[in-house]
Amino acid sequence: MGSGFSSLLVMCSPASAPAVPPETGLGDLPESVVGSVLVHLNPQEICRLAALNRAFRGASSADFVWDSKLPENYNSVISWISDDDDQKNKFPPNLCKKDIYARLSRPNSINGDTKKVWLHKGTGKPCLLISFNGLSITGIDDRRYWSRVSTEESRFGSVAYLQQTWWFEVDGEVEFPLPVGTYSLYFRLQLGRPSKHFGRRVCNRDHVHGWDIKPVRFQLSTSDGQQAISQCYLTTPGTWNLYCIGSFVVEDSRSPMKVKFSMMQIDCTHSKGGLCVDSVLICPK
Amino acid sequence: MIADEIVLSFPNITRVTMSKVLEYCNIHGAGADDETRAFDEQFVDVDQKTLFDLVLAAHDLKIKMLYDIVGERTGDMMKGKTPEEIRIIFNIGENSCVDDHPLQKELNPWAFE
Repeated sequence: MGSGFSSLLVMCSPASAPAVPPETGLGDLPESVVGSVLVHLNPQEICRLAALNRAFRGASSADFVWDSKLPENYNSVISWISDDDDQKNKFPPNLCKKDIYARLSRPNSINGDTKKVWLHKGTGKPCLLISFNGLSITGIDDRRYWSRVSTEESRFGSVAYLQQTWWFEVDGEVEFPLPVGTYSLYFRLQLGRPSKHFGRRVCNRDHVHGWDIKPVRFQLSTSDGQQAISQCYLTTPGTWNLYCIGSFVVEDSRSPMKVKFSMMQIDCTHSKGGLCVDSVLICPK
Repeated sequence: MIADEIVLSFPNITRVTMSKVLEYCNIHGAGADDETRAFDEQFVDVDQKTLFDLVLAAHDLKIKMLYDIVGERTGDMMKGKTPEEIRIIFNIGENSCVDDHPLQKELNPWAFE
């Protein structure tokens, strides 16, 4: 024996008595509804609108709103940061999602400040910056070739300066829980040595040589077999440049992605020098 | 057992709003494709009052897809506007503020960096 009905009647409020009185605006909507609107705005807008009224203030701190801004594997990112002795108390268990987002969106320094990680506000995915101190530079301790220069032009406060060498090679690798997405990797480099002269920025280009003879070769590979190889000439002395060496895709955020990268100019028929190496940047595309 | 009539009562939703909700549900019954995307764009291109009625109705009826697109449309209308402009556009009274938090930048500096 089945069941059914012969007609369905939907009764609503009459049009003459509207559900929302004419004077009612967005300000009278419940907090949960306001939250469903805020998820479509960026973090800055969400914080700015908290001042509008009680519902907006409540909604602007709601966990479900900030959960939508965090990467899907933010707990893995927190674990990775918290493994560092200096950061182990930065993310206590009772933090609300807004505070988690706030702490992740500012640079977190780890490994003795050789790496910084923060969330890119546009995409909510992490950016990773690795200082030259976190890279393997051939001959870095040989003062005939390399020196360390303090400068505020680096987020790490210092850069590696190459006076001259024949074998130029910088290698690095990092393992990080990247959320699903596409990422690009850059070397931040400058031809010329930065300094300040009477408070003004100066760049000494006396030792810049050899980079126009043969290009620098860049290479990147990932633990799941992706590869990128490129080469280009280093140019524009006196300005910091981000040399993009390639992109890679993360399809599964459950296991950390290991990325290896290098740049080389090892043609020993000519020397090269006058180069500053600051850092490597991995950021969402 | 056959019932003659099933009556569903929604005292908080107007007839006009309900007919729009039913129109949305009928179009989306077969799943999303290019035609439904085009329908959605013109569906949310309505005046403020109709949009709020739809937001509330989608919230009460728990129709997630509709809730998402009208919420997104409302969010789009707010983007790039100052709180003062939003007060005027959306008729949010000055007195509905509990207390003064004019300097959200000071409370949440990380969001403005």
